[in-house]
Formats: sequence, structure tokens, C-alpha cells
Amino acid sequence: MKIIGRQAVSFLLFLWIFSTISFLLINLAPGDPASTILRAEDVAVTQQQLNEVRQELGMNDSIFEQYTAWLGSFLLFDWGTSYVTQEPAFMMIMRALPATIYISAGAFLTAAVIAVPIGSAAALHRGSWIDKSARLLAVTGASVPSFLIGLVLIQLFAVQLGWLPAIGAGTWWHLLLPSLTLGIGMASFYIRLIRSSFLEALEEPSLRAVSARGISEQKLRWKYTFRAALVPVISVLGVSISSLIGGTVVIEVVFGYPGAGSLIVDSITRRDIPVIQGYTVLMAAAVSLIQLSNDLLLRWIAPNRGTEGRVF
Amino acid sequence: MLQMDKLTVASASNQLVKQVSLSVNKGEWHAVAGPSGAGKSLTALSVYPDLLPSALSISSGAVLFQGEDLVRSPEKLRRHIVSRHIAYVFQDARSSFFPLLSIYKQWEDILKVQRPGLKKKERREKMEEALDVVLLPASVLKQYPSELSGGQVQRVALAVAWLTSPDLIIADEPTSALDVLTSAHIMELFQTLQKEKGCAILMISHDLREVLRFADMVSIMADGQIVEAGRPDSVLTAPKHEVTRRLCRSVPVLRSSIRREGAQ
Repeated sequence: MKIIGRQAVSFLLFLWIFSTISFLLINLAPGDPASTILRAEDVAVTQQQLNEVRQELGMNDSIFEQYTAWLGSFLLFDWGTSYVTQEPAFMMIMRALPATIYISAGAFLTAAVIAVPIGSAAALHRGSWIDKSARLLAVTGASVPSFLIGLVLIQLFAVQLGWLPAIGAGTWWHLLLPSLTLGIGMASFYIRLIRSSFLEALEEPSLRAVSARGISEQKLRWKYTFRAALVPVISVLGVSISSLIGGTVVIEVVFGYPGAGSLIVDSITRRDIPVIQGYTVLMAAAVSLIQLSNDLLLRWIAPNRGTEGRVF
Repeated sequence: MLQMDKLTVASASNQLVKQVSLSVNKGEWHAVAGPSGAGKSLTALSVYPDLLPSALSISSGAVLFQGEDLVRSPEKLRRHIVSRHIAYVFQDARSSFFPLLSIYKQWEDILKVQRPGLKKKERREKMEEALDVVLLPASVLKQYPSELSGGQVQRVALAVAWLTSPDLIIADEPTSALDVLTSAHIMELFQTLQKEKGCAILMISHDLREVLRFADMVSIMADGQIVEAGRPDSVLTAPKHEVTRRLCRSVPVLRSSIRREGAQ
């Protein structure tokens, strides 16, 4: 409980520092939001209009006043209005986010379903044809860029076989190809990681003594060895889920899938600051929350990592 | 009960245990002593050959336990016999417990295999009784091996022997990493186990005073062979072989140096 409290405090502190830095960076960067807004309305821009909009946005105030105003409204989930669509930024992000989360979750599930059995089997049958084909699969998956995997899957399942929709969103079927595409790339990394950590776990010196006490091979493998093998895997899980959410951009573009990734790319090109800022802080919060739960998970599975490897 | 018959353990290039024959009778405390590198540990591990380092194997000879040859029996049968009748206690007890599971979970697995009929509550009672015997509090069950001290882990290992009531305990220098008081207590626990559960003990020992005090039989090993064997009082008071004589001479004066060597 104490650990959770401490983690929560450092989480809030991190979020505050991060949001402040992102506020400063975005506001001090060159470019004029006022002209962005006026250009979006597609009219000839006069100096007087510019001044009015600047006044309205509070851009004539000092940076400190802008900051406190921003922070205050930010905490109330008033993240400003998009300069481009004039919609609340919060709503825009919340509308796009579920799609991205679905794809990420689907990709993660795909990766787990592929990597756990293949990685474990490769370690348990080291040097066999299973191990060799797992390595081939891992190297292929890691070296082929995800958009190419996506295009191949579209060609195969959507164009040739016609089983699945190629682009767009709406049904669960639409999720399948993007998730597979993203998941295959991720799986290749995890196949190698699970294989090597499983091999390492098999060397754990206590296992022979445990086996001498009559614990069955099945139990030894899946309760003891697998647990030890999971420790390195879980250690990197948080980082890899975070990068997964960031990595959906390319996939969203390939599959024309309207998620948060494509929203943020559009917003950056149009200098739509409220959306960028909201999304940045939200992602920072999400990433550190994922990391936090990751730490707790690790603590649960390996309460103290006193795994000094000694031989009898 | 245990009979080693011309046992030879070899690596690819040389023989580390040569033609060792040794027997342990029911309820007997058999000590094996000798200088470092004499092959004592390998001899003890050969009872359950799966424990030997992977580069080594038993090249000839037999290990008979209650009539069954553990070297040649199929893996499953061998593990069944060893787990039901033999308990191992190692010098480094920590490495005989899995670091990621609490003592309770590990013991539960052992009891589920060895006493399949017990209910959860009965298992718990058995565990607490075993801890009581080795003078540890029940709170140890919640702990992980790395949270316990060397002496505590060694007592936990002995408690496992109490839980499983084996016919034979094989102990490889169980006290050499412990302080004098703790090791005295551990030795007494072995004696308790021998008396109350009637189990035989095969113990590798560096401390000849311990051998003299506790053992019924002693075998002196040097360079992979047994050079002398018999009752401790006769072997150690009238040593015939040069190695035994050297070992005995070093006891009163150079005891501390023997210890240090043994800790390595």
C-alpha cells in the first residue's frame, strides 16, 4: 500500500512537470495559432482580425497568465477548442481514442497468442525444427516493416480471398487485419525474448532440487520455470505496450482507420495546438500508468528478485 | 538399504569418482570425509544421477536403493523413488528452493505430490508442525527463500525432510556455511530426525569432531576413491591411511584452516 501511495505521488508530479514542459515547448515554438484559425475559415486575413483572435485566445497575456489559465481549465477537462474544427479538443480525442485502443489491444493479444507458445516451444525443443522455424519467423517478422505486412495481409485476405474488409472502421471484422499486422511485428520480438528467458529459467539451480522432491515435470515447467521466464518478459511489457499505442499511426494510415494516431498527425500538420497538447499529456499519463501497473504486476509475480544463480 | 557398487563418475576426459563401493544400512548415520576435490559431493549426487552437473555421467557401477538400480531405472521411476524415500540437504540450501515462490507454496506442492490425501487444513498443520520441530515460527511460510538467513533456510530444508519422512537423508556439508552455534543446532536436528523418523543419513562432512560425535560409520575419500572405512572411533583414533592421518592431525590445531577450505 505504501508503495502504491509513493508511486501515485511520483506519477502526479511527473504529469505536472511533463505538462508544463509540453505547454512551454508548444507555446514558445514559432508559428501563429491565430493565423491558423483564420486560415481555416478560409477568408482573407487582416491585421485587425488577427489581433482580435489573439486577444480572444489570451495570447497577449504574459506566458505565466496563459499557463495558469491553461492548467486550470485543463484540470476541468476543458482542453480548449480545436483551431481547425472548432470542436472541443477533449471530445475529438475521446472520439478517436477507442479505435486506437482496440487496435493496440488486438495487436497485443495477437502477439501474446503467437509468441508465448512459439517462444516456449522453441526453448523447450532447442535446436529442433520448431526452434529453427521460430527463429526464421522472428527474423522475418522483425525485418519486414509493418506497413508491408499490412499490405500483404490486405492483398491476401481482402483482395484475393475477400474474407475481411480492407479499410475503414465500424465492425469487429475491421479490427482484425490492423491488429494482426501490428501484432505480428510485436510477436517476432517476443518470440525471441520468451525463448531466451525460458532457456535461462531452465538453468535456475533450484529446479533440480525441486524435481528431486517429486514435483511433476508439467508442474515444474509451467508453474516454476514459466514463472521465472516471465520476469524479463514482464519487465519490458510496459514499454512495449506504450510504443504499441504510438506505433498505430502507420497502421491507421495503411488501413484508413480513423484513430488517435491519424488525428494527431493531422493536428500536427495543421498546428492545432489544443488537440496536440491534450493528446500529449494524455499519452504521458497513459504511459506512466501502464508503467505503474507493470511494476505492480512484476512485484506480484516476483516479490523480491533475489534470483542469485548458484550451482550446488 | 543404499548400496553403491563400484561406482565410477567421469567427465569426457577423466574419472572423478573411481570404483567407489559404500553401503548405508537402515537408520544408520554414514559420514564421508576427505580433502576437497576427493569426489565426496559427486558420490552423494550419484544417488540421484539427474543432480550431477550435465558434463558428468556415471560411466560404470550401480547405485542400489532398496533393490532398485537408480542409475539404470527409467527417469520417472527414479524420480518417484528418490522423491518418496530420499531427502537431499545441500551445503547451499538456498539454491534448493525456488526463489519466486513462497515457502508455503513450495511445500504445498511437495505435500500434494507426497501426501495426496491431505486436506488444505491438514497440510497447513503438517507444515506448522515441521517448522516447530526445527524451531522456526509459522510466519516463515509466508516468506521467500531470499528473505531467510542461511541458517533459517537450512532449517527449512530439514523441515522438508520432516514433512516427507524419508528413509534416507543425503546431506552435503550442511553446516559448512553456518556459524558454530547454528551448525551445532542443525546437527542436533539431524539427530532428532534420525531418532524420531528412523531415517538413515549419508553425510559429507569436513568436521571430524562431528563425525566422531554423530556418525555410526565413516568412509574416508581421497582422489576419487575410498581409502579407509569403518567405525569412526576406530578409524579416527588409529588411522591407517596417510590421508586419514593428515586429516586427523589437522583437527585440533588447524581446524580453522580446514573450515576455510571447506567454505570455498
